[in-house]
Amino acid sequence: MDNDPRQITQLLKQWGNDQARVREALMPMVYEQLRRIAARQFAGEGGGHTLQPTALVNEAFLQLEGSTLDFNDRRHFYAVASRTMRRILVDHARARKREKRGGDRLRVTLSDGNAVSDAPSADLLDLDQAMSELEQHDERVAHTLELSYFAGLTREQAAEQLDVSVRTLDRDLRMGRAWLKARLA
Amino acid sequence: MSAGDWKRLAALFHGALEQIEDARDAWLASECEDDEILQQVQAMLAADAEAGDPAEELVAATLHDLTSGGPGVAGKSLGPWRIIDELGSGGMGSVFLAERADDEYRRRVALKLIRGFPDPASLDRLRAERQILADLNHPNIAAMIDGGTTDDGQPYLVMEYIEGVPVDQWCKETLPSLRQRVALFRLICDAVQYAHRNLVIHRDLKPNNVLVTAEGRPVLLDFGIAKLMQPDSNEPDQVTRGARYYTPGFSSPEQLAGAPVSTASDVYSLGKLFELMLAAGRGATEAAPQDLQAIVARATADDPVDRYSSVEALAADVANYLDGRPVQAASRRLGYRAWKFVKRNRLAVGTAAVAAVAMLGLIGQVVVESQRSREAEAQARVEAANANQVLEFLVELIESAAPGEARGEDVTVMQVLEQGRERISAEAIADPALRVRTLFALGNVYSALEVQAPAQELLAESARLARELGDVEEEVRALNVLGVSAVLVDDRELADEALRRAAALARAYPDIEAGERASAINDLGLMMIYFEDRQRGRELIAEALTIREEAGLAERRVATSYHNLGVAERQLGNYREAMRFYRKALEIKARTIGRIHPSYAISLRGLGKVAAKVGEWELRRDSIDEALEIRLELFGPDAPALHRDYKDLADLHSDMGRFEKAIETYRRAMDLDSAAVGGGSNEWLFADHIGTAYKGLGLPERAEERYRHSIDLREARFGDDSATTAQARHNLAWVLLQQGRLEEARSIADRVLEVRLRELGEAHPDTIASLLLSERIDHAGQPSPDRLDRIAELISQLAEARSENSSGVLAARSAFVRMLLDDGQTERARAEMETTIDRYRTRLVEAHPLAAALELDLVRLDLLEDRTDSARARLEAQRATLLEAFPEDSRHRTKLACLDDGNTDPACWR
Repeated sequence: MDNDPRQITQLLKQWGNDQARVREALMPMVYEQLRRIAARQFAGEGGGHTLQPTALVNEAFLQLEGSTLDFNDRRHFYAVASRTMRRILVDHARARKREKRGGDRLRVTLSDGNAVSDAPSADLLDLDQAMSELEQHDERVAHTLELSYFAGLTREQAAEQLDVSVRTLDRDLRMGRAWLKARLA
Repeated sequence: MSAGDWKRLAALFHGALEQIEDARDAWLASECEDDEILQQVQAMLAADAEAGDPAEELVAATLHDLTSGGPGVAGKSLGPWRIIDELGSGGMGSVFLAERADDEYRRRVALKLIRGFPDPASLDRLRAERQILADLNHPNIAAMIDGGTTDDGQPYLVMEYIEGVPVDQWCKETLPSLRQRVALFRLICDAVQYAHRNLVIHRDLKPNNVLVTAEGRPVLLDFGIAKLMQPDSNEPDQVTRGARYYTPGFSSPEQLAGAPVSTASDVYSLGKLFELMLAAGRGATEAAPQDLQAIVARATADDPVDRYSSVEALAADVANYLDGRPVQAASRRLGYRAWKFVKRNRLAVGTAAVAAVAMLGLIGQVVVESQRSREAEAQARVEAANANQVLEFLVELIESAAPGEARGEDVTVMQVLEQGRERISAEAIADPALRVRTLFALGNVYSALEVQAPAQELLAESARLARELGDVEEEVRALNVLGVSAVLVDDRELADEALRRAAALARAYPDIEAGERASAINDLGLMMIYFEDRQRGRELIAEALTIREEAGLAERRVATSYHNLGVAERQLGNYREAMRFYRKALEIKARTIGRIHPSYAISLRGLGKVAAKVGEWELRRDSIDEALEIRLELFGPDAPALHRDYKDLADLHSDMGRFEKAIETYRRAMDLDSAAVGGGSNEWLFADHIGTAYKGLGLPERAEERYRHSIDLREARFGDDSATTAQARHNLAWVLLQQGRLEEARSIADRVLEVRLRELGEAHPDTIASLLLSERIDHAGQPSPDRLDRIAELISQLAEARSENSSGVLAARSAFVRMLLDDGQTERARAEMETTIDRYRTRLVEAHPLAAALELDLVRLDLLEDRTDSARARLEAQRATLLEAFPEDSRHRTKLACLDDGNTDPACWR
């Protein structure tokens, strides 16, 4: 497990060979890495903070650095990380849905008290579906949103990632957001 | 929804956003007849107008749910504790406010619980925290009340619940005196010192972990990442290496670096905390006493060796201050602190503020000058002209002062301008003549800052008023700037109207000052060039030059005309002529305004561009270097205005085969462009050039993507049938041909050729390049010796119009030799290859990767002729260059791999 960051680095270096294969190989590792950092981050933050995707993804990238990563490696990493983050959350939302139907037992035994509010997670599956649909219409806009929502990239970072100007990025973001909002409304 | 529908939807959405809100529905109705799309756009516009983003909230909520174990736990019980509310949560668990379920006096506690991920490390950590807290018993550290384990064996912690606020917030809200702050800090030091004596390093001291109660008691919280030192270690200064937790702004440099952390790290964080406590809620002018600054500086030294040796020593120095004794820290490192201050405040005293002040002064100056001008008309004219020059210079300064990150600075300049506008609209300027001039001055500034809407409003008003007053000269002046402003936003109608009237007035009234008359005609000429009537544009610019020369105007103005003629000739494809004019402009400018001036640099850039067209690479490099040097000196390294220079530099990299470096440099240019006031307007240009760099790398798919993006932007800006849009289309057709997509390539190339024949004429080098590309596409579909001859002939023509050394001609020749080889004309192919390779190496650069790529064709030729040894030797000679210059997925690398395997079939790599 401790080798993960190094393995991820090595894989990123092979990106040019076979993108699809490298991406598939990377995702479970990044999945594990993000999951681990999420667990750690809590200890560092204590109460009072809500965890953001950006903190997770950036920390994951920091763990890789110090090796020989260049500009392109970083781009590839963020592309994989945002997609992975999305998958983690979708998996969780699915699991939560199953659980609500009487599946897995809660990991922590809490005796029942008053009302339990509705789990919001079911809607994330709608979001995921809507984003897949958006990708059919306009890949770049969909990727822009994915980087923004699931990797929490800043506008500048996302623009760099997608090789477009900040201005174009802003347009894409605005368009994509409006479309999604209308779609989810 | 089809791809076309989506494009349409996007166009309608963005188009509607540009309309004022009330006009949107009407605009949409006039633009779109498809009800379904119309409804979709309206739904999107409504969504856009609404605050909040449900998607973002969903992501945050799900992440929260994932990492905290779920929502809605209020009211549930854990052992004897009933949960009331969640106080906060993080990666793997939550802290809850809870009370004893059976408690009569309802004691409130904070309950910390790990849920969500079953991570053994975090379980260990909670157990460690329990252990640490069990040993700590101090009035300024939150006490542990209970610890337990759930039925599943997961530990939880119950701690004293502190009803308080973070220490910085407390300072802001209660505004304690300086002495009270220092005393409070002293108590915090005591608590940390106590922890250290118990072999505990906190490692995460920050405002949120130091709460102050209503009684003013500071309490240390959260030993969640605290570390127990090894008591039996022999190390004098206990260190421990942990995972990388940190809080920006409070964690020590060694912690940030992931290096071993000792008590010195807590000293650092305390220093930062102290600094914040001293500043919170106090005005910027109320600097802390030097002694306290010295304490902070010593506690927060980058190198742990330079800090207080312990929290005890820090607390002792704080006590020195409270008791009025000399502070230890103050005797040291004065230079360090001075340096630190300058570093911290450099931005604040930077150029943006200076420029804003200067702008105010300038507006005032123009107003004053205009008043004086009624008494001394002629004198004032000269000065007003000077003021315009000052303005030009200032505007570039302001542009350069808008730092990409602190775009708030722009607001300052804008605020200055808004004030100026108010000053005009007030009755303060009742005198109409003065009003004309002030409107003009302000409009001019807005226009130069490229905020065109208010600029045009002000300038149109100035022109209208001048016309009413019968002041032709003022009217011409306002119309000139108005017209140029309209050109910049592609408002052809307004530009045409304003500049034609200005030029007509200039011709009809010879007593208008010659400089103004010449500008009117010159600007109309520039507009013509911009809107692609190049021939007529050149004539007008020449006419302006004549006026300037005959009137004996300042040579600097004459130089401007020469520069513009250079622009015109370059657009017309007469590169040698263009070079002559640029040189002439440079020669005069060097003599009159000197080298270190934006105007000189602009002409240098023009010269560099033409040099590239005719393959004079040395001149090109020198021009770019010199222009960049001048503008760096004028504007500093992060000025948005430098985007042009970096683009030139990137072009040069690209021509020299340093493609990755070129892409990086284009990105830098694009970032700077985005940071300019009203920025990002040149992306149409960058996208195309980045595409060409990708093409050079042998990544035609990537190039195609960039070209298409550029075409979209160009269509929107210049129209479908402009020569500028055709340029990017031409490049697209080229990479489509490379990918063997002949049908697509052909239809695009035909369209480009049609536009170029119409807009540029048949002799223009770009038109020749188009004819050449069309023949190549035809040849790819249906090879014939006749076509090869025609292609050779067209390449010669292109080389004559440009130069054998231009990268376009070299690329065409490279493509040609590959065709020859496919056609079996091996002898001719070999000769042409060797010549072309030699040109790349001797005229461009010795290790040009495209020369190495051509060597691969020689390898192929060798293999076809069974000269295996020669092929092998060549491969080995070029291998290093190819591996270095081209990425793994490049076509050139694929070709290398194919040839390594002895495979000479082009299907292997194309």
